[in-house]
Amino acid sequence: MKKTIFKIFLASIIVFNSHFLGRGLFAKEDKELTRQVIEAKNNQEARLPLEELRKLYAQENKYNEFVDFLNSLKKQKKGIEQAINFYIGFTRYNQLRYLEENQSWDEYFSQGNTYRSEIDASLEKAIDALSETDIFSIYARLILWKFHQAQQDTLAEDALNQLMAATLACAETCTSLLPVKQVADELSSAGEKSKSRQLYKIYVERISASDIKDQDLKNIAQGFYAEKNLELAQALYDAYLDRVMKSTSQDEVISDLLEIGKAFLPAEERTGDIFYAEKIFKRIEGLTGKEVFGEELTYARAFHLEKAKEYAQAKEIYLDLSNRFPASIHYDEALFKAAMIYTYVLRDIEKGRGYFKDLADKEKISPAVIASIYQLGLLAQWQQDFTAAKGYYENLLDKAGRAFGDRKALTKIRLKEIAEAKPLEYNLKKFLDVSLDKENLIFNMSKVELKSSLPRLETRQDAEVFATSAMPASGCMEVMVDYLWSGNLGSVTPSLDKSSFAVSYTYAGTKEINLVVVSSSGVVDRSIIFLDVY
Amino acid sequence: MVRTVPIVLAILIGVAGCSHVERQTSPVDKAAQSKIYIKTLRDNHYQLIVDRKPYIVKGVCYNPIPIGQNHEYDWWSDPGKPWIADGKLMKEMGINTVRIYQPGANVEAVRNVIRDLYQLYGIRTILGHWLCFWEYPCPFYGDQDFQEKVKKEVLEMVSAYKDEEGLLLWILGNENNYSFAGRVNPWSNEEIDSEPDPQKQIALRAKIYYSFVNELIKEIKKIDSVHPVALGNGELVGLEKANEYCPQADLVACIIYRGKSFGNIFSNLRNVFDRPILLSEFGADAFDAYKKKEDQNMQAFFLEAQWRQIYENLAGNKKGAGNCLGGAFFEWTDEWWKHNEWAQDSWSVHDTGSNWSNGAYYLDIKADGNKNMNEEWFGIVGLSEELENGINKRTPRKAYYVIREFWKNPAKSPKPEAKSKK
Repeated sequence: MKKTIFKIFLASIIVFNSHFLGRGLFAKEDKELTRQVIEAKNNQEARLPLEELRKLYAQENKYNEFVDFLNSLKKQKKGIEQAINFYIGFTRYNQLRYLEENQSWDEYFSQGNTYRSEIDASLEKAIDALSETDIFSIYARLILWKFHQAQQDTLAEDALNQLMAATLACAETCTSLLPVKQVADELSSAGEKSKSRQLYKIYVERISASDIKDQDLKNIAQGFYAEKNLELAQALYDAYLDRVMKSTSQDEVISDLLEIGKAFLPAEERTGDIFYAEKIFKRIEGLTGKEVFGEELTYARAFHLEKAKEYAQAKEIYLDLSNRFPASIHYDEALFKAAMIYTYVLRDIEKGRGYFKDLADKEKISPAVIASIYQLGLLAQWQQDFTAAKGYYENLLDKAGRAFGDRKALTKIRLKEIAEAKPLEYNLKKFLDVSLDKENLIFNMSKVELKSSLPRLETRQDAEVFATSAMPASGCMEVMVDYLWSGNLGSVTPSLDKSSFAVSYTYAGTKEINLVVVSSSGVVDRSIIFLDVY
Repeated sequence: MVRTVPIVLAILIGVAGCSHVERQTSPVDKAAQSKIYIKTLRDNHYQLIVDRKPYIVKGVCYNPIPIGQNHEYDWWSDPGKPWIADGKLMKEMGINTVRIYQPGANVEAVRNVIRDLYQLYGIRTILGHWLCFWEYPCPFYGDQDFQEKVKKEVLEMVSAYKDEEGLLLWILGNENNYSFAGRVNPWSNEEIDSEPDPQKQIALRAKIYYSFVNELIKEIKKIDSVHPVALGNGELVGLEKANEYCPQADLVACIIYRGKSFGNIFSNLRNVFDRPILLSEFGADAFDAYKKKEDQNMQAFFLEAQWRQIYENLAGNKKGAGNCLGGAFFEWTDEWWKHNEWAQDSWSVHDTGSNWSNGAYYLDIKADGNKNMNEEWFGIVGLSEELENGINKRTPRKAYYVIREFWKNPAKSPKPEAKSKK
C-alpha cells in the first residue's frame, strides 16, 4: 500500500514538475532529477538534484513554478524540509533580482513584499532548524546577507556578522571547505575584503597544513590565478612560497618568485596586480639584491608603478635602470620620467633640473632629450629667468630639426610669450605655481584622479584622458569646477568645463598631461600623468 | 531641491533668500493645538507625538509652481488655489504632512494655505526657513549684523504662524552645512581667513553656524513652546559639531539622495548627534536619462525602497535604529522652470536635460556624462498644460499609487523584529 501511494505521489510530482517546466511531460532529465529528490533521505541527498532543478527552472525564469513545485513537495515529502526552505528563499531572492534587472515592475510592485517575506521566513526556518555549520545553514545565511545587502537595509550588518560567525565555525569543523571558499568569494566580490581575506587565510592554512605536495599547492594557486581570483591565488602563492623557502635552494626560490612576480605584472591580456608583484619583487631584493632584475623587468616594474601613481617608488626604479643599464633603449625615458617626478610630484626642482640637464647634454637626440630641454626652458621661464629660458628654447629648436613637431609648437608659443613679455599661458602657469610654490604643499595630488584609457599608445591612436575630483559633499547642489588642462595635449584644447577629452599624437615620446581643478573658492588640487607614445 | 551653485545665487534671493514676513495684527484664528513633542521610549527610540498620539510623518515637499512660471511665482496667492486640489489628492494617497521650504511674503495667504490643508484634509504643515543661505554674495554667518537680520526674519515667521493649528514643526536651514567646506556658497570672516589649515576652517564655520542656529532655536522656544525645531542638514556632514554647538535642536531634518537606501544613516546619527531624524528631502525623478523617456516605474522603485527603510527605522522596530520620525519626499508636482532657470521660454517646456549625476540612482546612470538626475521630473504628480479648475491638470504617477498601497499596509513590508533568534 505504502509503495503504491509513493508511486502515485512520485508520478504526480513528476507530472507537476514537467508540466510547469514546459519541457515535455517526461523530459528525461527532469524526471530523473525529480525522482532523486523524492528518493532523497535527507537534506544533503536532496541538494544536488534540487540545485540542478533550480538551474533548469531558472533558465526559463520559471521562479513561481519552481516555488510551487517546492511547496507541493514540502507538503508530502518529509526529511528534506530545510533543503526545500532554502531553495524557496534562494529562488525568491533570484526572482526579485530578475524582476528588478528586467524591470518587470508590475510583478515587482505587486508581489515584491510577499517575496521579501518569503525570503526571510524560508531562510530563517532553515537556519533555525539546522546546526550552525550545516551547509544549508551557511548558504541560507549567505543568501540572507546578500538579500539585506542588496536592499541596503538595517539588517545587512547583523546578517553579515552571523554569516561570518557561522562560516568561521565551519572552517574549524567542516570536512568540506567548499562553503568557506564560496562565502569568501562572495564577500570578496562584494568588496568585503577584510572578511574575505580572513576566510581565505583559514582556507589556505587548512590546505597548506594538509599533506598536499608543494607543487600541488602551487597548481591550486595557478588555478585560481587562471580563474582571476587573484586574492585567493595570492594567499596560496604566499603559503607555497613560505613552504619552499624552507625546503628549496635559493636559486629555485628566486626562480619561483620571479615567475610569480612577473605573472602579476599588468599586461594587455590581464589586469594584474602591481602591488602584489612588487611585494614579490621586494622579497627577491631581500634575498639577493636587485641584480637579478634584468633591463626589461626593471623597466616594467618602474613603468607599472608609475601608471599606478606610485611615483616615488617608480622614480627609484627608473634611476636604478639608468644606473645599471646606461645603454638601455629605455634610458632616456627613465631619466626623463625620474626628472619629471622629482620636479612636479616631489617638488624637488633642483634634482629634477639636474636630470633634465643630463639628458639635454646628450649628443644623441631622442624625444626625452628634446622634452628635457623644453622642461629646462619652462622652469627658467616660470622662475622669470627669460634669458636662460630663451636659450633653452632656441637650443631645442636647433636640435629638433624637422622632427618633434609637437614640442617645437609648444616651444614657439613659449618663445612668443617671452618675446611679447607676456605671462606663461594661464593653465600652465597655474599648474607650475600649484606644483612648485612652497606655499602650495597642500595640493598633493590626493583629491584629483587623472587617468588615461591606455597606458601607452601608438602615434595617431586615440586615448581618452579623464579626471575625477574628490569634492566635499554638496548634496544636490552641484559644485561647479573648472579643469585647467596644460602640458602636451597634442592638437586639442579642452575647454574649462571638460573633465575628459580624447587625444592622439603625431610624434613619439613621453607626453606630460597636467591638470589643476579649481572651484569657486579656489584650487581643489592638481595632478599629472604621462602618456607614452610609440 | 536646489542646485547649480553659484549660478543660481542671485536669482534665488527673491524666493529662497530673505523674503520678509510681515507681522500681522489681526486676531489669531483657532489655535487649540495640543503640544507637539518627541517622546523617548524605553528602548531610547524616538516617537513624534501629536494630539497625544504617535505621528508618522508621511510627508511631501510642496512647491506647486505652475507651468510657465518660476520660483518667483507667489503660488500662495494663486486664485486657482492649487493646494485645494492637491490636498484632496494627497489625502487620498495617505499624505499627512507637507513640507514648505520657506513661507511666502503674504502672511495671510500663507495662513490660508496652512488652514485649508489642515481643516479640509487634516494635512499638517512643516515650515522651514533657508536662513538666508542664498543671500548675495554669500551668507555671512560669521557676521553679527547678518545674524541679526536672519534672526529677525525667523522670529517674525514663528510669531506669524506658531498659533496655526495645522503647523507641525519648524526646520531651520536646508543644506547650509555644505558651505562649511567652502565649495558651496562660500562664506568667511576674519577668524576663518586667518586660519591656514582648511580642516580647521571647516570646523570654525561649523562652530559659527551651528552656534548661531542654537541661538535661533533658543529664541524660538521663548515664543513657541509648542512646536519642535529641527536642524536642517545635508546628510550627516558636520553633525559632530552640531552635537557640540547645537544642543537645542529637537531633531535633525536630513536631505538625502542615496538611491534606494539611506544606508547606515540612522545608526550613524545615533553616534554622531543622538536626535530623532526626519528625512526632510529625498526621492527620485521619473525620467530615464539613459533611455530618454519618462519612466514612472523607476521613480516608484526608488521611492518604495526608501519608504520601506524609513518604516524599518521607526520607533518600535527592534532591529532598526528607532530614531526615524518619517519623511517628506521630494516632491509633489514637477517644476518645469528648473532645468534652465534663466530662459523664460523654457519654463513652459518640460525639459529632459540633467545637470547633475548621482550613481546611487543606477538605473539610468549610463546617460551621457552620467547626468541622470532630471530636475524637472521629481514630482509624483505630473502637470499638463491643460487647465482644470484654473490650475494645471494633475496626473498622479505610478509612485503615487505604489506609495499609497505601501502606506495602507506597511505591515506587509519585512518585519525585522521577527528576525533570527540566533
